[in-house]
Amino acid sequence: MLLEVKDLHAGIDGKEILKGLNLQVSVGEVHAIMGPNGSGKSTLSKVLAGHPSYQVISGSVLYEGKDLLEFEPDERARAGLFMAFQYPVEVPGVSNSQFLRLAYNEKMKHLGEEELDPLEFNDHLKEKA
Amino acid sequence: MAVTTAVVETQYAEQFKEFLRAEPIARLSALRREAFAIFSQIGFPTPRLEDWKYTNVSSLVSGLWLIDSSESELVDSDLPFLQRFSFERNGFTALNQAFGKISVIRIPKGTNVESPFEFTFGGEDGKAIFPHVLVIAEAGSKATLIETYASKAKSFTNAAVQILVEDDAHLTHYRVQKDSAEAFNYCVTEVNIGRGASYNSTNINLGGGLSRHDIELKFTAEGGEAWVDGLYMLNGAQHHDTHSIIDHTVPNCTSHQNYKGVLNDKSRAVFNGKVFVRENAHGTDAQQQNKNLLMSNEARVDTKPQLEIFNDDVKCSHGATVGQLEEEELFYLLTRGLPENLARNLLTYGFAEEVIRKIGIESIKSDLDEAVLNRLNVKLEV
Repeated sequence: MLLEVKDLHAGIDGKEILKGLNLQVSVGEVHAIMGPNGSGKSTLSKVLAGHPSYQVISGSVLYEGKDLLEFEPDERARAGLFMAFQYPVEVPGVSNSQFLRLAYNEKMKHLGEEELDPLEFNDHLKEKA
Repeated sequence: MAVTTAVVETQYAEQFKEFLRAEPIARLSALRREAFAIFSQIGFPTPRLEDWKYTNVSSLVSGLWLIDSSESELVDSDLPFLQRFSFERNGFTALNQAFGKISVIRIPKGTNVESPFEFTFGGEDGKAIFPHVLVIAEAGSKATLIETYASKAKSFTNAAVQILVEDDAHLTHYRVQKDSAEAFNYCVTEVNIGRGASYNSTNINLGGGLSRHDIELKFTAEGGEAWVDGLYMLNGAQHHDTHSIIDHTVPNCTSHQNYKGVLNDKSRAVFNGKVFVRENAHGTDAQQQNKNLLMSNEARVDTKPQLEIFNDDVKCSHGATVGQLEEEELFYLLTRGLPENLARNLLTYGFAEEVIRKIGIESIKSDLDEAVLNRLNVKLEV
């Protein structure tokens, strides 16, 4: 089992939004979560990504058998749990290539692989493009 | 060591007598005497004065400084401009007029000077320097100034820069203060802007233990435009104070002011920006902003944007913010796998970069990028 959410209760500002959610995702599966506005889709993704404004009240989340809720947001991202933003944030003053390279190198560090310098990363980007 | 005011005043008085003996220009001697008399009368500013409420210079005042000034380089025709310097502003400006080492940059009428005019100052340990630069951008000229303070010691810099941007002239001005963290730096910039002229300045304050920059900018004819932007980035126990006055005395002029501050550790900053729109200055467009990032609980900023409007037909805005990094931006970077420390530094860099990236000269820009990154201890290799 890749991701296992068990009886998850979570919310924001003291208001409970997820009231006992269960979900199991195995390797290679694609799941789409649908529901009306306010049913907790965003709350679930933010809780899984580790947004500091959301609180887990009870329940558990296992990711590759480990307690996901113990990890910091950046540790979750490097471990492979990734959240695509509906409204991506623009970070003023930081160029895309700087930002992509920093994120890429953090992932490489995590995997124990070599980091790329700006020139190497530029080549890498061209290959991918 | 406690030094009484009398001893302090005597040290300047004795050095002044000696300095004056070597002054070859008689008319300058008269001006210097007048200025020193004012200094003797008012002394250094104290926090009892409203304009100096948050900046206490007593640690500077109690020090003993050896005056390090030499012969001025100016011709008789420069004297009237020098005489317009408002040296009675405070004890520092009076002392500058008394001891000032005057130099003149004159950009001839209608010329476009490609390579920038650079002047760099830095005092030695225990010494006081008094640079005083007159800049005259004659009608229709175009040029760039680079003013740098880079003392490596416990020095006292007391500088004055007078700028005249004549009709239809365009002047770009970069001022970088990166004195050592033990140094004292006081500097005043006075700017007059003529008809259809523009003045675009960026003021970067990174250095000095105690530094203050006073700016006074005045539009003297219609159609002028000015940018007065700046960044202060402080660490440790550094203290920086910027006081600016932008004076719309005539109609149809535009001013933009964007000052940003990043305060770490126990550092402290003061921003006081006054914008005046006088009675007949219709068609004025004045925008002013001061944003501050407090990176530690012990850092402090006192910011006071002031807008005084005596006319209805104007477009003005002003604002100040003091805060921490945006939580949503931080979270976004974390979800991209950046560790929290790096994410915070990247956001801080981006905040400062908004001022730095305006700088049109690549060598200064990359120097500053590096200085900012060094402070943040982050490698971006921009």
